[in-house]
Amino acid sequence: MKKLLLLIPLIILLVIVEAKCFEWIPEGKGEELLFFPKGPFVGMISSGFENLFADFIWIEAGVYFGGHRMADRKYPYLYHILNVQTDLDPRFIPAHTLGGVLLADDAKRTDYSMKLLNKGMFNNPNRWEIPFVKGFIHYIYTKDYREASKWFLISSMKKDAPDMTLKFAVWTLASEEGVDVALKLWFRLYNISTSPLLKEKAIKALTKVLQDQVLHFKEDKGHYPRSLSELIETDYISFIPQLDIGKFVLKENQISIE
Amino acid sequence: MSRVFAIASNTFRESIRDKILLSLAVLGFLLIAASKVFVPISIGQQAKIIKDFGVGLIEIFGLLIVVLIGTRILYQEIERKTIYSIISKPVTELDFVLGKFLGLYYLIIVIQLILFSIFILFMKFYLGTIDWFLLNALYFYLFEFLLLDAVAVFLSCFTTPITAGILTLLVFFVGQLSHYLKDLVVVTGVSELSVLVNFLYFVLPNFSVFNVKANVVYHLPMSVNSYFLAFSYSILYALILLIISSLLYSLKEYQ
Amino acid sequence: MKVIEIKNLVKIYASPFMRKKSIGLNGLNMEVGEGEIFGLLGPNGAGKTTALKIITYLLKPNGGSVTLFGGVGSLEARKRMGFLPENPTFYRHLTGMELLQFYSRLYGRNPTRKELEEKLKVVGLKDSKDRRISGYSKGMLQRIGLIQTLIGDPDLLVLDEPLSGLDPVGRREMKDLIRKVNMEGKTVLFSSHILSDVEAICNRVGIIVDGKMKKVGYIGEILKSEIRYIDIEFEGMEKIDWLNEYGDLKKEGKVIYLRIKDTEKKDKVLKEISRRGGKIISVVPQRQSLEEHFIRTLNE
Repeated sequence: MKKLLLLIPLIILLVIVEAKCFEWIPEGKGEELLFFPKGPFVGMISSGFENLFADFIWIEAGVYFGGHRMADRKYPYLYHILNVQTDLDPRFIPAHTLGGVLLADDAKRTDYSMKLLNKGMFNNPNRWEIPFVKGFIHYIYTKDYREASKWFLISSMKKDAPDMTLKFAVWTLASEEGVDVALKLWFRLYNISTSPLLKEKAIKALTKVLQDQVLHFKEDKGHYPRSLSELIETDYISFIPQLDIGKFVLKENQISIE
Repeated sequence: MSRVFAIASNTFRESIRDKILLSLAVLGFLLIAASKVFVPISIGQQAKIIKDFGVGLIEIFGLLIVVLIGTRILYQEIERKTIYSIISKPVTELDFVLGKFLGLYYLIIVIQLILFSIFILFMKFYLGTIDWFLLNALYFYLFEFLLLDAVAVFLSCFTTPITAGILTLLVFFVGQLSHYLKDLVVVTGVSELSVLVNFLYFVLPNFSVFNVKANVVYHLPMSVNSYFLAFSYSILYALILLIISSLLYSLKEYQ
Repeated sequence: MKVIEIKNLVKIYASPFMRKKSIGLNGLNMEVGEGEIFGLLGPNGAGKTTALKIITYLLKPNGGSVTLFGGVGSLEARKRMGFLPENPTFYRHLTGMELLQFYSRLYGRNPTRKELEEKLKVVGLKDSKDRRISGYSKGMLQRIGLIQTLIGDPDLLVLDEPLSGLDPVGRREMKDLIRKVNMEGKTVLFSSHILSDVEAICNRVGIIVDGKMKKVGYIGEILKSEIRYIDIEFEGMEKIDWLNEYGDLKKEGKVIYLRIKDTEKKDKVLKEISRRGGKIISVVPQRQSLEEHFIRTLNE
């Protein structure tokens, strides 16, 4: 009984010490992952529990990304974390696909994005999602339409690849920035993502494309379209993307979702 | 043979009534439930995370049982002198060692089954569907712990429970790193180190043959070879360890 | 057939750290015949427990030989033997009944609950049969300890201090039990400090000193070997000083006690007392007690 009583003040002491330590940790946004260890090292530490460790790192990556998105919108270590994560769990597709998009889009590092995606393709040669995202990145961010088409084609040849991928290969061969293709691509991305983050991004992009078309219509015709259907009739867009959460509508000349 | 089973069921009963087991069980349940904490920050990967957690934790629990309970069962007999009434009876050392080993193994099997059942229920409750493919992990775990049980019995033949526990943990983790070890030999190239590393690689049990966690979560079917390997490797290695253990026991004296 | 035959048994305790070695047994010779109750006596550290542990395979000798049942192997010997260690401990998590069931299985037997209950009844433990061993008193442990030696229906019982920790009633019961199983044909070897107990039940006694058997013999012989003195109790005499030359005198009230050391003079003294008008109450020859014999042996 006595020993138990001794334990209580010890626990309280421990909590106080820990709280103090947290105060001490510098709030610097960016330094915190400076000492994040390299892939093979983490692999050795996790000795048999690679997947579990990879999950923790994935969560950590999410926290890192989310934190910086609120603050300085700079993600210097995003590639590093994702690299370690995919070393530990090479078959985790979302790390490659979502990671690839975030690196290209938010971190504005298409080089890192490509590196990650290439590694993903090496480890998962039969998956269509990764070359697809590679094509996507080339189309939307590097504007290399030939490359985009090539990767869409490769993606379409993988097992279980949806028909859409082949169609994209064809469309992007046109080597022009096609609004239609962009719309279709983002819609595709929306449909295939499992993470809410990517879905969110896709919705934003779709909204922007539609809004841009509304503005083009205004410039060309001198007045705003009455509805999105009019945009379709006049060939400014070929379809209205249908989302799980609702559909796009034109209200007071602004695109919104209902 | 009935002597072996008598000792085994006695050991099982003794372990079941051990209070540590109760704490572990409660902890186990709590931890599996705690995986839910990570769901909101999993960025849409909750199924994978829950599965990884479940499969990983169940293995960790088997490990804890072997390390905390398994290393004590032999030592206790000697320390409490209950072994006096065993040695003086017509029981061979092999009977004794096998009996203790089996008793602990019964316990491990029971706990693994319980934990997997909880995990299945948990999956049903939180994910809506049960991923039966994950039960393949159970097969591999059962053989993994067969081998680890034998390691613990062997180590506790000649060291105290604490040392045996630490060593068992070390053997487990180094055993998981077998393929890293192999790479290390190539990378380091230094001769003395490579002798040591080679030694570790060949002598220490290779636990990475049982590491199917990535496979089961990603539904990658394992080759028939790997099932067979898990079965035969663990039984063979365990048998050798148990025979050595019984030889060590035949040298013991009880003052 | 000699149940136990020990020749020149040597046991050396060597601590791996200290250079000092202590000698447990230094050439012990001992024999126990079939049907005997053999008592092993000796001061602390003499080697009694060491000898018993070597017989029961808990220790290995460094020299000499131990032959059991005429020369059977270890497994066979242990089948025919039951051992009760000193201050016995048993599995605390089992009940009395479960303990006996477990040990039975080690002998390859599977008795029914009823049979075991009968055995427990003999030592008065029937009511505690479903209580965990952790709740047993020392006396109860000793009693269930005896029962577990009998589980395999052995021919030989080896008991290390079987009466320690028992109250007088328990001791008497235990002694009765030992006599009883002996009557059923079992050979008993036990060690004890309590000389009166040994005296009471053994037929042969061995005294171990410093790892060697100092003296062995039948109880009757040891005790009969000499009549040390004769105590005469009488009354009705006033003048007794003349008796001082014959021995020690003590007067208690009207009764006078005379202890004659020279037993040859007994008849002469008795005659003289009667002649002087004394009335003899009793004449008791005092044999050498085992205790005296024991202490004497130690000092030799």
